Amino acid sequence: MKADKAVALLAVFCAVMVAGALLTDWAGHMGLNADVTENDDGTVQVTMNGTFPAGYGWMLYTGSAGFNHVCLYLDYEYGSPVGYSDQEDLMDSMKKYLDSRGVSCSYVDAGGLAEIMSDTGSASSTAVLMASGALPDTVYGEDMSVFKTWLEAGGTLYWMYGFIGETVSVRGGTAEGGTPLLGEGAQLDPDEETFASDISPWAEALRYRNTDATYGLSTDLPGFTDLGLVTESGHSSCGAVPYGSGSIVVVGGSLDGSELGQTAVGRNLALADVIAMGLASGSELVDSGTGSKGYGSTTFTISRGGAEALYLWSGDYNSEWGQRFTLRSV
Amino acid sequence: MEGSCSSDVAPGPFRDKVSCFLHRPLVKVIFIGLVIRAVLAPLLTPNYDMTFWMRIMSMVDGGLSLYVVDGYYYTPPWGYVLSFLALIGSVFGITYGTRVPELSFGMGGDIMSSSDAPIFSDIVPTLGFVILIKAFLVIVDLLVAVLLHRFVSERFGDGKAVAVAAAWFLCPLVIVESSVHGMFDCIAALFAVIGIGLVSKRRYALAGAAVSLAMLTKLFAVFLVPLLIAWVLSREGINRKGAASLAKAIVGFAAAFILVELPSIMAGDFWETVMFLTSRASLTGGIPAWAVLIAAAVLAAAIVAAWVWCTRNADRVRASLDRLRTPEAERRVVKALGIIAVIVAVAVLVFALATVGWSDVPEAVAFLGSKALVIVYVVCVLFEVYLAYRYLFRGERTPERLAMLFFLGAMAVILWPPLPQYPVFVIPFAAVYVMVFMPSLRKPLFLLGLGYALYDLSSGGITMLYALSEATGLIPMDALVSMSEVLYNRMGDVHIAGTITGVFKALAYLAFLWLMYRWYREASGSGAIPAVVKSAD
Repeated sequence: MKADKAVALLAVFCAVMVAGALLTDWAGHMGLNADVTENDDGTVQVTMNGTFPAGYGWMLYTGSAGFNHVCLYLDYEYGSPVGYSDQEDLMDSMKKYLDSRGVSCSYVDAGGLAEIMSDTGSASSTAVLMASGALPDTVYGEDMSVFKTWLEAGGTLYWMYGFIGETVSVRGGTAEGGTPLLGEGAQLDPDEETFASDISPWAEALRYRNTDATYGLSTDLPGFTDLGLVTESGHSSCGAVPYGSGSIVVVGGSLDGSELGQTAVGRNLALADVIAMGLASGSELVDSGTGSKGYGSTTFTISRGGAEALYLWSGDYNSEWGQRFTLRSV
Repeated sequence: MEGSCSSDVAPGPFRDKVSCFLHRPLVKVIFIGLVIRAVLAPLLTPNYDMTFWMRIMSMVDGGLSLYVVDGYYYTPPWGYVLSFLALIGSVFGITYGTRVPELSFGMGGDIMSSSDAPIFSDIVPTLGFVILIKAFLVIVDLLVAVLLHRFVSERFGDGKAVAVAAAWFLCPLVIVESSVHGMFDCIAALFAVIGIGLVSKRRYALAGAAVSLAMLTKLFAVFLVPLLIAWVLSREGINRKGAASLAKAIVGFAAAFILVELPSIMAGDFWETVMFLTSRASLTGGIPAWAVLIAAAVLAAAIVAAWVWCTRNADRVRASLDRLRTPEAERRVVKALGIIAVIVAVAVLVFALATVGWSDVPEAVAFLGSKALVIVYVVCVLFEVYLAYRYLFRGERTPERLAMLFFLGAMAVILWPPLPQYPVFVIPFAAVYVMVFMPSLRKPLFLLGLGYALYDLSSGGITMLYALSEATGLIPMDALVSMSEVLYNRMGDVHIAGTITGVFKALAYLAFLWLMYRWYREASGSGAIPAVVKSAD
């Protein structure tokens, strides 16, 4: 082989990679953003700004909370039936996803959670994401009032894994015999194998594709709102129920092996959208749509149709970026 | 050859040249290989890795760099290539995928509880996207074939060069990985072949850069490093000139590594970029970043100290090197490498037990199993060091012996983990050795490629038809989903698709063992084994 040909080939490949590297770096700095203008005729004008062609979508909806802050619960000192590394992987991912959706979020431990939940004044503007499978005794010990009061005051809990309240964690371990918050049969038993057979309009719009309804809420619960796929047994892989003025959203499935699973990544990205949108019990989808933009900006107009909020997202495969806009009251 | 070309067509120098070109054996090989790829590329596409490539390109389009969110787990080179392809795709208006609601019900839940289940996504790639990715990889296949042809023809003539190019370009596995699976192992093979070509031309700095890029694309090139070092030293001598040559290679290696990683280093994502390498070596979460940095610093200090010591004790070093050529020295080398292997194995065992705890034996055993790959890799590298030692200090330094050692060294890639695309890296080295020096192994080599190709095809299963179905409607998606539901669920305790894949996996391993057995028999018969592996005393 002539060395100059090998060198030329090496140079060409390096040029390809440099172009790709510049593109990713440039794209990172020239990321998407959007401008929204509400017109008097009941329409909303949306301008999506971004350098490169990209797919995008929008959802108009009612019945949501605009969270000022999202707390990600993670405490290594409190027992949990879920591996800490799995919890950590999930929470790290969710922090990235929520950051890219403009949502303020931070980690809280058991002590911090008690402080957050004791502040009932800001309950309606705060959400908590838990994947520990157990509630710490700082909020759900013998006196369960901290947790319940916070929910009743308007707090929103996003919960993954386990029957809520059945396992209570204490420093250094877990205590058996907790009181299930939602009662017998409210969540799908992990021993029961069922397949998803129906998909909700929310799941269609959110691209929520996780069919695993293990621990998922029963669709028979009063005030139930379906955000996911429903199994033959009548449980949802993502659903919400009211609790006082607040809401509990349960995401089905386990966290095992989520770090490389495309399904888990898709589920978590959709969950990030759910949280960023502030979806909870009573959230109703008014309208949704998708499109794709070319180079530069694109502008389109949609009819708000009584919606209280607009959520814009982008991505051809999953939603990689999102932004919530509260629409003015009509 | 030239004369027969010109007699077939109408007179005219241009037509003569075209005719001669078209009648060249290499062109025929390339033509056949391209036709096969052109037929397969739109027909079959497993709906797994393609969905990852889609996701990554979508992330780039959406203004996210490679490691900002989850989704890209490899080292940067392939991500850069995908970014480049995203740009090309946008120029041609290529959309990436279409959502197929029927597939949503096959995702997650019970089906995903099996690691063999291939319904990972309900987004099916468009034919345009499939062609975009695969066309790039086919070009890489082609470049490797041309480089191999050039490399061999300069040394052993056109006939053998064509045979080597054909062994690569018509290898079933190479065809499947680029034109069906859409996997990029061929890029690592390309960089490795470029690196070896540059070493042969004494362009050591660039060779180091090429090997660095090969390793950053896929880790496998690390297995060839000891042999490459031995090759350089055998040509330049174990002296200042040899050390200077190695230094050039190291500088080239480091420069390429830093340049490729620079964007990630600046963004603070460096450890994310090597996650795939560390996870492949079961090191994720096992070795903290500070430990790696300390190890690198200690290694660098050791190299500098060794350099200083050697220059101040040149006579003693020469005497020691001479002693390394004796059978007694070889026994000591083997013993030392064995001791290192045992120390590593014990260290991993202690680490496993210390991490999990001495009381929970079953969990400790399971944890140890997950770390066993470290032992396998270390033993492989020690084996490569031994091969390098043999080449440098024991026996003849012939091209056949060098080709055989590269063949053996590359074969370590197949040991673990058993994924079908990995042997693509091995094929160029096996092709050169078999087609030039050991033609009796042609059939076993072909069977190796066929075995792993079938293993890969069986892994993709029914999902390979999704893209074709969605684009053309020739096969109803409903029918494919129904077949998927049957194949990817359990029948009693038997996972049907997993069992089929397991059978093909076993056949592929058998093909590997058959090739190695045949090589051992042939090499023993020709006396090559004693010259390569066995002690020469």
